[in-house]
Amino acid sequence: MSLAAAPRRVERTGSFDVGPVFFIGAVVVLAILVIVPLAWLGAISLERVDVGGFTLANYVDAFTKSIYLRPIINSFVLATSVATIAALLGTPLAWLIARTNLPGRKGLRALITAAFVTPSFIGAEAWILLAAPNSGWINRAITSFTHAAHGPLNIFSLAGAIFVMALYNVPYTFTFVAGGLELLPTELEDASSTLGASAWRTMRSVTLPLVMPAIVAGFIMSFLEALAEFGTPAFLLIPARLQVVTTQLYLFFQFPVRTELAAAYAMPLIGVTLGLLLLQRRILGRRKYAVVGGKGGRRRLIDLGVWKWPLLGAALIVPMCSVVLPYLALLATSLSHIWSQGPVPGNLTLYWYHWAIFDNAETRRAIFHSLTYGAAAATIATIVGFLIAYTANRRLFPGAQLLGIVCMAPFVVPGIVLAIGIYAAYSHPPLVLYGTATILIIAFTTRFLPIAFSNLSTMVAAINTDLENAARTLGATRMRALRTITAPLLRRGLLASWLLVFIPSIRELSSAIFLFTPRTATMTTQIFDFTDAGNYEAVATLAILILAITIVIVSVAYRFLGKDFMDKTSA
Amino acid sequence: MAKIDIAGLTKAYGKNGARAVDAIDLAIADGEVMALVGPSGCGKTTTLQLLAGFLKPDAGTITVGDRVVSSAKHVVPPEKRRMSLIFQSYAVWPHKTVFENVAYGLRVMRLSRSEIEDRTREVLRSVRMAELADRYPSELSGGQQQRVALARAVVVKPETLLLDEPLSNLDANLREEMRFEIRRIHDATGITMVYVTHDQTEAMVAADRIALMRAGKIAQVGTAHDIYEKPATAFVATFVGGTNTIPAILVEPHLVEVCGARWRVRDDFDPAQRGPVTLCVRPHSVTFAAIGDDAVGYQENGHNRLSGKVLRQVYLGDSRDYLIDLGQTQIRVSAPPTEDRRIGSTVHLDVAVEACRIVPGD
Amino acid sequence: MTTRGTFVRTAAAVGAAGLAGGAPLGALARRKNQVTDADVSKLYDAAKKEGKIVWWTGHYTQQAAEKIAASFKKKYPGIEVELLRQTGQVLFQRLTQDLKSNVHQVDVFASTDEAHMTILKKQNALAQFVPGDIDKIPKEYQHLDPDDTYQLGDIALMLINYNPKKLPAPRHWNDLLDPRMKDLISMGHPGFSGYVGNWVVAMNDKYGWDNYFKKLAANNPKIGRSVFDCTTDIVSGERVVGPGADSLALERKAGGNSINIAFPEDDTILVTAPVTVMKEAPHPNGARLFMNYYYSKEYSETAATTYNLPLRLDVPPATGVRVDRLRTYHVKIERLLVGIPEVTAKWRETFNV
Repeated sequence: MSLAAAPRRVERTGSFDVGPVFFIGAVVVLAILVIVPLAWLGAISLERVDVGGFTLANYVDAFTKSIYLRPIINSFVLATSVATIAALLGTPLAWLIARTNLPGRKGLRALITAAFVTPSFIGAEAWILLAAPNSGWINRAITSFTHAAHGPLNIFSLAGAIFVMALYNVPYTFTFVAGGLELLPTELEDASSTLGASAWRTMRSVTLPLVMPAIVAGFIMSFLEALAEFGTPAFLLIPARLQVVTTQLYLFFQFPVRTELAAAYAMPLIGVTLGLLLLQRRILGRRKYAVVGGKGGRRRLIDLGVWKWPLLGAALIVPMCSVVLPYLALLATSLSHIWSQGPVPGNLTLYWYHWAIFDNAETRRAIFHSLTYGAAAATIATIVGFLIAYTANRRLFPGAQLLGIVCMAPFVVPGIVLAIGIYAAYSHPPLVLYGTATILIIAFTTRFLPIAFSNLSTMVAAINTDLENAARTLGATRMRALRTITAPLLRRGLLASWLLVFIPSIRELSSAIFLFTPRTATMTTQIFDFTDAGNYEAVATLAILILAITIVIVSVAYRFLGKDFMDKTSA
Repeated sequence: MAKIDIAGLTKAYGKNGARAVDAIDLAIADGEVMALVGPSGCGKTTTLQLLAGFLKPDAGTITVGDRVVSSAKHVVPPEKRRMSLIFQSYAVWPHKTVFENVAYGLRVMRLSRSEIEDRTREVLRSVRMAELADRYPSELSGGQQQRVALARAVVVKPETLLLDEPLSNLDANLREEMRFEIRRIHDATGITMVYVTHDQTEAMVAADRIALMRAGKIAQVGTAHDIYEKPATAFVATFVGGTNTIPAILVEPHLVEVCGARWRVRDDFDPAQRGPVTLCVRPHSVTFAAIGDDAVGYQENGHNRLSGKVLRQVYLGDSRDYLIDLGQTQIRVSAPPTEDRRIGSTVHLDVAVEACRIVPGD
Repeated sequence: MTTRGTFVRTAAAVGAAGLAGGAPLGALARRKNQVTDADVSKLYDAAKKEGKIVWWTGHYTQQAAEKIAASFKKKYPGIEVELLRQTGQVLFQRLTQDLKSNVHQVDVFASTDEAHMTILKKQNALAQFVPGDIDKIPKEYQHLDPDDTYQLGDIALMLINYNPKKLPAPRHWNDLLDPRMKDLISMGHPGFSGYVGNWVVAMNDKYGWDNYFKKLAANNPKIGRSVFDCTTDIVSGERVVGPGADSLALERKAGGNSINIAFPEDDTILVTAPVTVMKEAPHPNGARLFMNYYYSKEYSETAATTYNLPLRLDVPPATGVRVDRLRTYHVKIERLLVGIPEVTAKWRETFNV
């Protein structure tokens, strides 16, 4: 064999390393997406209206008037309640599904995923159909027996809003806690039971404390989501006479427009979110939640014995309320000619579906927009997220980790606030993007970039640098190693990240509501408009269409990526 | 096939952090196998990373042949250094077959398809992985993966081969096999090799010369024999082969005072250096004197004597391991299995002057 | 508020670019820049060359606006109509952005708020124009702007929507204050809806805040966002009565729902909305042709078919009652500018939202 000493290899000169260009490009994009809007927001909050010049008057105005302070209090009450209830509902559910032999676990998981992909404001719409005090179907059914003046349920209340929002935040707690439980070695619990503790006691004193970090993480996520939510409070809380921060911000943009007040008002929201996220980081330490399942497999499930069926019943309540009843109500409405007459024979029709898909160009365009903007946002977010994750993780230059923090920054900004910043930043020369598809894509990309980044960051970190370094010692440039080694290894992760941005983009309302115009309307803004016009049939039809499309996509994803890909919803 | 010169190489952690590599100088001859050995944290891995071009030195240079490849100002990137690296984790790419793994470097060199095919098959044959060419790494054992890594590294005919604890993840008999493999390749190609390991036995088997590192500095460079027989410091002595270190005082040339007796030792230091030194005696160089022979101190027959008490004794099959209390200190003695002394009994130890080394006290 | 001033119009409002000849002298009663039939055909020819017009409107629903556009194209074939229909607030914002960046893409701008026009007028962004048939519209609303930089573009009525199966037709606004109306009322929010804001200012000015709204609050009305919430809630059966607009109610009524409108004897609140030609319109002739079309019979007839009020008095409205035969109350623009923020603040105090 001729491994004998060979003459020197010819040195390859002149192959320009395009690596740095890509990375610089990613940094530029990051600046456009995140830094500029946030900087504008800060700048505008300090600007004197119309005249220009520095002033703190906006902050004074925003935080001394009681009509502006009340929404802040309301928001916090709302967010805390929602997060607490979501945690109280999600934790036992997670335990039941992840650690016991509860029958129908797989189906329950699917239902919880369906809740996850459902925008909360669509849930709110459905619950209006079900539980409006006089016209809600459940109330009507009850009053037909009791003959009372109106039904017992009133969805237009703080309790109603908390109920709806908690239902759609349960998936967060569920995912975190279930993930944590599945990593828990059985031995820890075995130790407890060999000492004679009952299943209940084991859960309380061994399992629960061990998954407490996961519960807290889920709590914080739900809190932040509830704080930033616009749709449900707009539909349910205004009739309940409760303004929250997001609806107040919306009001600042009605005539006369007070952008500076809105900016000042929004800043503390960012501060709170930042604080909570740092807290969450502290609590979780550097632990990452690994993909569920497939580890060991010798995990024994707790036998529920005779409690199986009652507990299944209890477990079904949440998905019943978040998925089954609402979808049925929406379906029934979408199939009714006039929804108030109910889904009775004679009123049933496919007219609305036909109208939405074939007749109404607006709606068709909206569906198309939702899909294309979502796809564009997902693609950009995945690429940028990947390059930045790589740059930060491999510390390509000093301060590279700062880029990671910038990537995560939008996370601390509620959607509606981000939209204001983007609106302010890109609505005058040189970059006038207001009214274009671009500004919506920017909004979606920025909003969900943190998800893509944190997901990919974990995965990039998990790839041994040796694998890339080996390629480099064999003559590959960093870029080539990235392309031929790192990226292919991350195929699943890249696809999962893409979906984790695509799906929320489709159901995004709070940032779109500021930036869309009729020419760039999406399915969610259409639903919002139709609600304003009282066209419930159209609302329900579009809602069903959104849900159908999302569920199809998620199912396909499950097939290819396995059931775990949705489990990493956050850092 | 190049000679490597490391001069004043320094790398610190952080801005004013501790130095992982502290101004080391090392000359590696063309075609030599140089082992970098030392406890964890000694800087051997960092040195290898600097050699490979993954790290930039804070000071000093690395020269390969007549080319300066690393300096504080500029580092030639790894892809241009013609140094292949074998990793402790093998770093075999899971998404490529064995063949694709090995062929990667050749593809980067833009060789023709047929040449790639030929060279890859040839090297796979040489490491006896030819039949597994289409397998994926997940289907291979650790040893097989390491062979793939080896094949991949040498097929591109690098000037230098760097090995980072290549055998640490293999079990004992595989290690034997791979050591042989690596040596064979070296002998066939004459590649200069730098071999990092924490296992001194491995270093002694595999390398031409050993550089023993500690806390970022090189404690001693030399052949296995040099290091074993003539350790420069107590650290070197204890690290390679294990030794007893007994505090002693150098009173005259070749004469130390230890545990109340006077012993003659092999080494001598600068006559000006009197005072505390460390006496190094290998456990298996100590024998038990016959019972009744109570002499202590240097005996004119070229042996030294000490007495002590047996603290502990462990039967190991091919030897007995003793812990003897000398009063001021304790030493270990590795005796033949037949030598059975009771715990608590007083014994007399006999050591040849040749086996008594002293190193500067530290 | 109408001032039939005797100003002499200065700007050449008729067919600024490309139209040969000056403003023709017509009947003495006409303003100097009022359009004659001859002008119209000249405008049409020039507009055909321009090819299209860009129309932004906050009035009507998308379908209704599309119908109007279609009817224009039918009357004036060869001209494309690019329609953008969105709430007045969004349109205004968009327009302001464009103007700031010196982008001129709108020809005819029909806002829902006269206040918008006041601002645009100050910025000198509007062209003066008087449609030929201006005398066919209600007198009080001719020359909405004394300087003719904008005209009446839409009339909407805020009146009482109610469920005829549950209530007899209310006759006064004060009927809503009746304790028997408790828990039966639904309405929008002045902060979210310009129409509702208009109505609230009107009620405030007619009756005083404490007399009207504090008492109304005692009846626990359901508060939503849009002016249409009242109509929707009546249709769904959630509530029974409330202040709402005419158009949607009539549409729902025609669809078979149990809803009707009632004209309050203490004045239907009449909300006017403006329309204008932009000074830097990219298609100036088409723009004028289109705005002129606003007062045509075809426009009014098309509007009536969509349950919107026809601007011309000689076209019967879907409400069944001619606008000038109603008892109406109209809040003037100067009052609106101040009034809406004022009542919104009071509203937030009284209703807590």
